[in-house]
Formats: sequence, structure tokens, C-alpha cells
Amino acid sequence: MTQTVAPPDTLSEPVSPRPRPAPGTPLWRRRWLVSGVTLVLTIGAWAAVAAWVDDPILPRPAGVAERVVAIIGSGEAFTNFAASIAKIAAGFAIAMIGGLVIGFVMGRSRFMASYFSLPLFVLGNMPGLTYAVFGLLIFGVGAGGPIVVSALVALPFIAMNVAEGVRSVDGKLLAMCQAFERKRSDILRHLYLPALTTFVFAGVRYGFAMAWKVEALTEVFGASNGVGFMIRKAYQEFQVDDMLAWTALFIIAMVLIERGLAHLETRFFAWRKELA
Amino acid sequence: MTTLQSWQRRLSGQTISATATLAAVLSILAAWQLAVVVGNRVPPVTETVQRLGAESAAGELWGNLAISMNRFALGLAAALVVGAAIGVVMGLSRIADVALSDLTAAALAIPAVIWALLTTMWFGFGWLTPVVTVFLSGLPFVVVNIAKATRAVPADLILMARAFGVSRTRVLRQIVVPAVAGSTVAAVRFAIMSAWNGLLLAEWFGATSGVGWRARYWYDANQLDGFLAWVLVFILLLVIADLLILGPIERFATRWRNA
Repeated sequence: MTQTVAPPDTLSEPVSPRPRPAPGTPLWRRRWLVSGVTLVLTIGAWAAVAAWVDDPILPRPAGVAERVVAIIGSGEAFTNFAASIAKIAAGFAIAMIGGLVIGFVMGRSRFMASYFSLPLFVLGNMPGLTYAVFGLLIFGVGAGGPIVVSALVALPFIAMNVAEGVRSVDGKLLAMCQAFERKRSDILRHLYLPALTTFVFAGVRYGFAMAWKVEALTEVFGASNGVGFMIRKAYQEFQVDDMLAWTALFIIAMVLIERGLAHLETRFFAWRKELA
Repeated sequence: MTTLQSWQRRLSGQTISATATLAAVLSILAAWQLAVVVGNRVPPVTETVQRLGAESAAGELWGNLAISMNRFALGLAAALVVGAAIGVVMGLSRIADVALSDLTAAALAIPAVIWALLTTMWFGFGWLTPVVTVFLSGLPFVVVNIAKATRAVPADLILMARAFGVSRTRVLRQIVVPAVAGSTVAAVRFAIMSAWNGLLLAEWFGATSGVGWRARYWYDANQLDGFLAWVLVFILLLVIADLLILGPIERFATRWRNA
């Protein structure tokens, strides 16, 4: 294994982080090409297996694509995704407030850090199933369950990252602020806020991926609208093609939002690179 | 003297964290009690623990745990083997990396419940449903982290070691293993978390035995103390797996970073 570990192109990676473009074709085009070929191959393999099974239990890719277009055309996609995203946003707002408070306390005091670590660990690692069932039991099929569940799932990620950010604040700067008798609001605004934003952003990105999955799961167990509810409906009607279509939309939406957040992050923190 | 002081400091640190953990457990119990008083559907702690004892006495606890663990181990082992193979290829070849990165990103985005529902429809109420769900929900995490581990192998250090005629076993032990260990443990850890979630869902929807099925049994019977008893089991398993087994292993594997 050690023999094959050092091919020339991986060797040059740490030296020059930007990969050299191959002569002739620009790299981005090759990247798209390679990625597209795998995608086509995967869908081809799926089509082959579907043709071999020849049963509605494994629909053909074309059928699923038709359903995707139909779902988007009927406007169901928009209303249900909007409903789900609104619930997650509401949950995230709660998680953000709670996470900021808990994270701040954890960053400042070692006792609080160990005090909150076990509850946050349990919250962050509890199986999605238990969240979904509790959300349904306590809040019924309304919007309350998914909102509270996504808040609880996102909270530990935000709190942990805020704590990390508070710890990263330079103690000497803090002492200097005190020596020059700066106001508390000044310290918060000019010292903590810039240090925290990057960490909060990382927490939001990670927390979002987790929260959305558990939120969809909660909707599968009990909801009156949203993506999870539509998946549940397709499952109960044994419409595998509908289920796969909603799954595809779910994946596309999630990847798009992830990319969007990553893009925002680089835009927001472009100034950091100039400092570094 | 210095060792004594550092030992004392460590002891006091441990006392603080022990007190804090104790306070945290008490707070969790208090929050539960509050939920019992405020929400009229939540059963109290004592009742839940009693129900757990009754499950154990009826022989349902260990039997279902054994069945679930069997399925879990089978699916997880398959995910680790296949995921490690794909991950190593992705870490070594840039073309494979570009080709598969979109697929792994999509696979990471799929919630486990989709796999649980699909496998239930595909394979029915057999052992295959939970095993395949465990495999599929654990696989992307293994692939991503093993690829990261493979990329972390310091190629220049290996070249240098080879130039100085260091034996292959020493290269493997002192360069490759330390570089790879952290991400590998992370791969196992994330795979366990995700696969456990998948197992519970698959057993909830498509099984007639196992811990997920048993939890659903109590849920369907509208006996929340039974359901909550199983949730306690899930949380305990999680704490044991992560804090007592994987955490120390991870600290041991990455100890060279702090040293």
C-alpha cells in the first residue's frame, strides 16, 4: 500500500494547492465531463436494473424524471418545500438564540462547558426516530413538532461552535479592552462578533444538514404538509416512483442550499483572507 | 513536586467535571420530571425504569438487542469494507475523486428514512431490510472519511523514509498509521451513528423483531412508558459506544497531535 501512495499528482498537491490544468482542455470542463459521465453511468445502471426487475417496485429513471417534472409543474414541489423550509427556519431561529447563550456560557466557564457537554451530546446524537416520535406525541401533526425538533437538532452544533469561537477570542485583546474601559457593547460588537461569525456559520452549515433530515423524518411520522409528508403519502400509496421523485427533489434542494451557504461563506469572509 | 502539582490539578479538574456531569444528569432528570408535570402524556422516570425491568424479565430486552446487534454488525461490516475500498480509490486517484464526489454528496444528503422505506418495499419484512438500510446509511460516511484519511498520508515523508532505507513495517507503523488513524476512527464513528439511526428506522417500518420493532410495538399499543424505556436503552447504548469506547480510542489514535 505504501508503494502506491505517492503518485506524482498527489505529491504535488501540498506544494501547489491549485491543480495544474491539463494541456489543451481547461480543468473545469474535464471536471464536469468526468462527473457527468459517472452520473450517466449510474443512471444507466439503474435503468438496466429497473429493466431487468421490470416491476413498479423499482421504477425506471425516465418514469421518475416524469414524476419530478409533474410535481414541479403542479406547484406541489414549491408549496411543500416552502412549508418545510419555513419550519426549519423557525426552528433555526430558536436554536440560534439558545445556541448563542449556551455557547457563550460554555466558552467563558469550564464548569459550564462540562455541565452542558453531556446534554448536548445526547441531543446531537439521539436517533432521529426518537425525535420524530416525541415531536408527534407532544405536538401532534401541526407545525410545532418539526419546528421544535429542528431547533433541538441544530442547537448542539451551534452551541459547540459558538463556544469554540468564544474560546478563540484573544485574551490579551480582552484585557486591553478592560484596561481602556471599553463599554460592554463595544467589546461584544468589535471583539466577539467578528470572532463568532465564522464559527457560527460553520455550525449553521453542519446543523442545517442534520436538522433538515430529522425535520423530514418528523414530517414522515406526522405532518399535514412538507416534503416528509409527501414521501409518507407516496409510501402509503405504494407509489415508488413518487417517492423517488420526492427524494430526488430533496437531494437537489439540499445540495443547492449547501452550495449556496458555502458560496455565502466565502463571500462573507473574503476579508479574512486579506488579513491572513 | 511538579508531578504532584499537576496530578492535583488534574484531580481537581476531574472533580469539577464530575460535579458538572452529575449536575447535568440531575438537570436532565429534573427536566423530565417537569415534562411529566406539564405534559400530561409523558410517563414518569420510575415507571419507565420499571417497564424496562419488566421487559428484561419477559426476555424481550436481551433477545431483541441480540437480533438487532447481529443485523447492525453485518451491515456495518459490509459498509466498512466496501466504503474503505471506495474511499482509498478516491483518495489515491483524482479522477475517481472527481467522478464520485457528486455521488457521495448526494448519498450524504439522503435521509435514512428513505432507505428504510425503500428497503421495506423491496425486501419486505425480512432480515435483509435492516441490514441493507444499515449498509446504505453508513456507507457514504465511511467513503468520505477514508478518502480523507488516504489523502492525509504524507507522501513526502514516505519518500524521504524510503530514501533513507527505512523498513516498510516501520514506515507503516510510524508514518502511515498515525496519519490515517484520526480520520479512520471518525469514519467508524460517523458510520455507527448514521447506521444506528437507519437500523432503528428500518426495524420500525419493516421488521417483526429487534429493538426498533419493539419500540414501535409499545408505541402502537399507546404505552409510552414502554417506548420511553427503549429510548433509554438507545441513549445508553450511544453513550457507551461513543463516550466509553470510541472516544478513548480516538484520543489514543490522535495522541501524537498534542504531544
